[in-house]
Amino acid sequence: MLVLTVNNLTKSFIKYNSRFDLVSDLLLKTNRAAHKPMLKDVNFKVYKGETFGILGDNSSGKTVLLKVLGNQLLPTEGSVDTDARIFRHSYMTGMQEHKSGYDNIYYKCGLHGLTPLEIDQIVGKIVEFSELGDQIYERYGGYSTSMRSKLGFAIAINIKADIVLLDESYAVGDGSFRTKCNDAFYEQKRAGMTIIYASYSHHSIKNTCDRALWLAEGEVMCVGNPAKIASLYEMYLRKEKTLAEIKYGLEVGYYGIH
Amino acid sequence: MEYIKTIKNNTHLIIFLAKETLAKVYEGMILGIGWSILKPLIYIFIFWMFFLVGIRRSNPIGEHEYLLFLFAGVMPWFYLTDVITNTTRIVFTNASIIRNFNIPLVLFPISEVLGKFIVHILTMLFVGLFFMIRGGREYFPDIYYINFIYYFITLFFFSTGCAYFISAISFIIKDTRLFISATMQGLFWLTPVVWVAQNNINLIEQIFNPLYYFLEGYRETMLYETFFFEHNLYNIYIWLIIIFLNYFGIRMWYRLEATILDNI
Repeated sequence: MLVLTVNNLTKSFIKYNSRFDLVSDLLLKTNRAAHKPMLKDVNFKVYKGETFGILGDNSSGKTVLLKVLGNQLLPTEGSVDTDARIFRHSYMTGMQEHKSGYDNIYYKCGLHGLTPLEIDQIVGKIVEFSELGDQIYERYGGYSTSMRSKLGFAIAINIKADIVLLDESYAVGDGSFRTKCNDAFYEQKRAGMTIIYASYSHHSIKNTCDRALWLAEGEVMCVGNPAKIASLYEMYLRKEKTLAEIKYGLEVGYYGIH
Repeated sequence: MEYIKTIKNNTHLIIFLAKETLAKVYEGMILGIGWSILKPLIYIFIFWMFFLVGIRRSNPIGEHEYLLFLFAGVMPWFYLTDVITNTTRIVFTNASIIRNFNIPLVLFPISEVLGKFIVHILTMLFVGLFFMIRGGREYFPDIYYINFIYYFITLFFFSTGCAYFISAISFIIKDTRLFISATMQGLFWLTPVVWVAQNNINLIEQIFNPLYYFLEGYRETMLYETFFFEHNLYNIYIWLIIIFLNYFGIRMWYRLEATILDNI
């Protein structure tokens, strides 16, 4: 079942070189903004319950794409069609240093748009999952990085969502906690949650995803089997082939992905 | 209108953000929300020292004691300065939230105003109490206090209008912030907060200074015993300003939405 469709999505950042251009755009409806293109004509579909990988090197537009999907950036052209409840999780943000970890659960969930009643229902689970014990009542500012990411992850996993958007390095904390995170995600996946996962590592895409998309310089290279895409990506990383060559190969059907 | 729909669908987010606005100001202090009462008290003490002890301006305004006259007018003034100066930076103070969470931008000004407005109402309860203690039976709440319902509503929409309009402008032109804070300080002396406007001055203030409306309104209620509908022309004029500020303020926020998100 389809949960998300991206149609001809184009995103360019609006930049104004001077304030006068902005004023003139607002008042006189001129178009003086300088556009910085980030995504060009992106199309793909995501099905219910799958893990969809977005593979791409730095500055290929992965994060921008996730932000547009999560409605934190507006598309310049095209659209994202979905009725699903989408969360983009970033574990370290949206926390307040002077508050306790416990209060931060309420704060962050509140920012995600949950009502206090909804939060009351999950707060126990979050505390338990985070393995912080009594430290949860201590000041968040005093937490170590791994404690912070554990708490952030515990919040992410316990908010009920139809689609979660994950940006690399979601595997956090020590080994056992990492396994626990993966297990938790698989459990939610079985319950019908969809994961969209962006990474620059073709290994993790290959291992975790059901389908994948390769994003290069803001354009979709191909969508399909993650193992095949990962091997193409590896070719590109080793500089055996250039982007243009791979693209041509894809167009003529040489790699057999389409 | 899209705006009203957004507000309706996100009431719990607005309440949450308003609470956070309150918490941000008073967090970690021993007295907490008590400061909303203590802060004006300190100002009042300073005014009292300055006017009654310092320059000895103690002759009553009409039949009312000067201190009460001052007290009734100064509260809406404090509230409005607070809203107007602090909302200029709203986009920048909330930058990390805007970047990482999916919250409609138009909610930020209105929830900040709501948070401050609740404090204002608490403060006004305290002012009422002060009137009863200081002024005696004459100043007990009477039928004219129904004015407050009207003035609270008007004040709320006036301040959201200001918040939307000024914060949008100050995003476009950053200098607005300094301009506003300088102007508000000067405006304190040009608005009849500590002095009485008579005849021509009164008319000039009415036309050019919308803040004056609320000062006068509060004094009408607590001192002069006048109903708000006794000056309908002035009421209509103020509501036109409110509609203007809200309409263009909110429109600017929608027009700027993509630019703010891309540049934050």
